[in-house]
Amino acid sequence: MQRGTVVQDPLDVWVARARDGDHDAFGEIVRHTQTQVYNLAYQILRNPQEAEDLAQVAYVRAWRALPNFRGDSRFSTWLYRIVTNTCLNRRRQLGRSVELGDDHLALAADGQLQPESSVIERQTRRELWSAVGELPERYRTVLTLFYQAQLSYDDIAASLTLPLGTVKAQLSRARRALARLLERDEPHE
Amino acid sequence: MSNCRTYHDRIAELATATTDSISDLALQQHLAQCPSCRAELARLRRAETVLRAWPLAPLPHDLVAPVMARIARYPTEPGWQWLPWTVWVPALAITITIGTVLAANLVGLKLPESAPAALTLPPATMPIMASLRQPLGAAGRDLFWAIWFGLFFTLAGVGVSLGLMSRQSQLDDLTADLRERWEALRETARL
Repeated sequence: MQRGTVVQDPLDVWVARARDGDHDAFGEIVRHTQTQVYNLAYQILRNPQEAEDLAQVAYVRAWRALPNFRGDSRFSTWLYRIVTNTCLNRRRQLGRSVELGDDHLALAADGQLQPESSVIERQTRRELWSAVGELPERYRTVLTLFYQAQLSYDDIAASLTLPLGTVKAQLSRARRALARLLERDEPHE
Repeated sequence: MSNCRTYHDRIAELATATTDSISDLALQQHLAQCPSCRAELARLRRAETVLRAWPLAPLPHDLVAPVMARIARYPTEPGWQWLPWTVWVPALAITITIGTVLAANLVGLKLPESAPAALTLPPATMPIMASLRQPLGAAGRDLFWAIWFGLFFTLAGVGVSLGLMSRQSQLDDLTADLRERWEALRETARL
């Protein structure tokens, strides 16, 4: 997907129907966004059970707020904002105790790799998951929105209600911190 | 090197660019002679490559059924609706209060000079009515305004608090947004 260009959100048709109270349309929205929503929730909470539960809570909030969605931004941007706020509130309630030590998603993502994936590829992805897990929550969130959810800088700023410059600075610092962590984890010969 | 910081942002930009060629001549020369910036560029490029291949983890369970079960318990809120009574009743009371105070003080509302003839009060109440018709003294004026302001702020407080109670979810969003902005400001200040 090309960043920074205005594209028709493929969810628009379902969103329009869901706004009129169509449950099936909202079900389609959930089906098409749930993986990204879950990954975003996981990166904020670092706990698979909490992430699953909070993703559901966020969808319920989105459903209830849908009549107020005016279409000023893309639906996905609006949805990620609800997810982010819901998860951040939960995280503040629970503190860091919510985080689990093992990276469950790393193992799950490993299972998705093709059998012929090289050992180096698996190793690199494990290192990435592990390094991302060591970053502060705000860095994990912007990285997830940029690289996994494929949002533009503008959309991330809208999702997190942060100034554009702050988003760019956070992304830059997140990349730099991650690069150092990856280098540290690199096997030395 | 002392001027490495000058190239800090440009190296970060270069690492995320899709092309390896360096059009910035000054940066090119700096990289040629600065091993530490070359290493930083290599580190950032590696991180960028890994991040671009960052896979989405699969969901442990499909969320559609549990989400639909949850929303079945909540009816859709229409886009436009009457305000709840917890908002409009205090708001109406405040409006009437302000209106009365303004009418009494700006327009010059006056009490009638005497009670209507048909209204004959029992003698026991006469001293009270007579005292009410007297011009207010300094203490009376203060009491008058204290009562009005007290009434005004009490009702305003009740209205605002009840309104916020019925808008708790939006308030949570607002609080989270404010915290995020505060974090961003602190981050900027640290740089």
